[in-house]
Amino acid sequence: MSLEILSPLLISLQLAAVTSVILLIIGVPLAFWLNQLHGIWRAVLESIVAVPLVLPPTVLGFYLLLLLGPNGMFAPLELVFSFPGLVIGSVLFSLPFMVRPAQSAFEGIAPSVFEAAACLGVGPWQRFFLLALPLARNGILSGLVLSFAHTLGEFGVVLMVGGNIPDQTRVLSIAIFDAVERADYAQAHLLSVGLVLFSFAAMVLVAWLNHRKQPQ
Amino acid sequence: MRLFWLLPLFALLLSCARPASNTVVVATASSFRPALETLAALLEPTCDVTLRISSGSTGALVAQITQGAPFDLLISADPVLSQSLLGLHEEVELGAVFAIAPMALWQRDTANPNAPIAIANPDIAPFGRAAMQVLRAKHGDDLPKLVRGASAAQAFSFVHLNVAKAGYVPLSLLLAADIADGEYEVVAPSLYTAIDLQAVILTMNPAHICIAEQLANADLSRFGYGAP
Repeated sequence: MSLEILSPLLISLQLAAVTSVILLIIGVPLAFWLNQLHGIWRAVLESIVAVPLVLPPTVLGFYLLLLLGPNGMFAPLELVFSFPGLVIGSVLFSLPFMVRPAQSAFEGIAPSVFEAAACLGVGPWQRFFLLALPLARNGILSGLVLSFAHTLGEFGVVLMVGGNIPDQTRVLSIAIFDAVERADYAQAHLLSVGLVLFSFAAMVLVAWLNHRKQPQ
Repeated sequence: MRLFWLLPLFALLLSCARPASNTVVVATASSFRPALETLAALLEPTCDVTLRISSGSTGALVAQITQGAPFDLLISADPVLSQSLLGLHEEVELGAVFAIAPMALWQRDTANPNAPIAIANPDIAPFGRAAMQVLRAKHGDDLPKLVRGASAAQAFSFVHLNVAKAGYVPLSLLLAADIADGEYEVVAPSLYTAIDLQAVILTMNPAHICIAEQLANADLSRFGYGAP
């Protein structure tokens, strides 16, 4: 495979992998914590997490550009047009894809399980790691697959804060845009068919995870 | 759950793909990209570099550079826009104009007659601005239906994909795509402000100077460019 195709593929996989791991670390505890809340605060916090679902990526991209750019608050970190900058954008943009499935999985666990554990003297941390995580496994795995696939398919945020730099920020979706612009339809087809197949496989995996029997 | 521990390992494995040290990242006006890709075969051994090329409208590239994009060189199609980069830092050096890029009107019989005419975005692309000058002179305020590409290359691809019936596009892209010369006509240069190509060195380095010098001395007529 030529570097023209391999490099965007590697960057996309790398971005999706790093983003999914970060989302696993912050998204799953966040989902568990959101489920403990009640009333208006829960509604507000859940909406903040969910807002990237309906927000145009350009809005997120624009504000990230302002925050990370040379005049922004985080200018000294030089994150704009860099791989770490893409990771920040992707984590924010894919957050609901991790948190939502994890939240419903945690909701599916009978409260009596936690009550019984508490009665037996199992502490809150152990309840999270030894009970909640294994019982919500399928939902968390769905969230992980969705975050990975969604990051691979991301375009708007990457276009704005990534800037199409070969070997650094030229991800698959940007490489397709670039190939069409260059009238290189063969390359555009190759990358697009690959993404269609991958996305379909990811959705099949999510559907299978959702229908698989929950561990008891 | 055990599977989760594989992910950081996977991420680490993937992070091995890093660019080589003598890699030069060139941002080029989209109209010059095919020429630059061909010239890379000459530039890379002469200047001992590996070129990595990114393209877009000159306006978008200048904006990205102002926002901190890590490009080493810019091939600008608008010397007025490149001027604005001088204030960025001390290393920025503007080269002389090394070529003039002609514009052509490409018309396709195969397209739907009600389809729009493609131009590059006049606010950020020099070819778009030139196209608007021609269209205004021809139609006044009663402009035909237009579709705007983000760059001259996107305007070109709209016509190439038959979604636009015609387009004001760089001659260089028509030649690079082997479009039959009966399909287009070069627009008279007197109808629009000339589109001048200029190399802008963004980070000072002998290899970057070498590339700019090689471009200034190259014969670009085969790519559809005129001498300044």
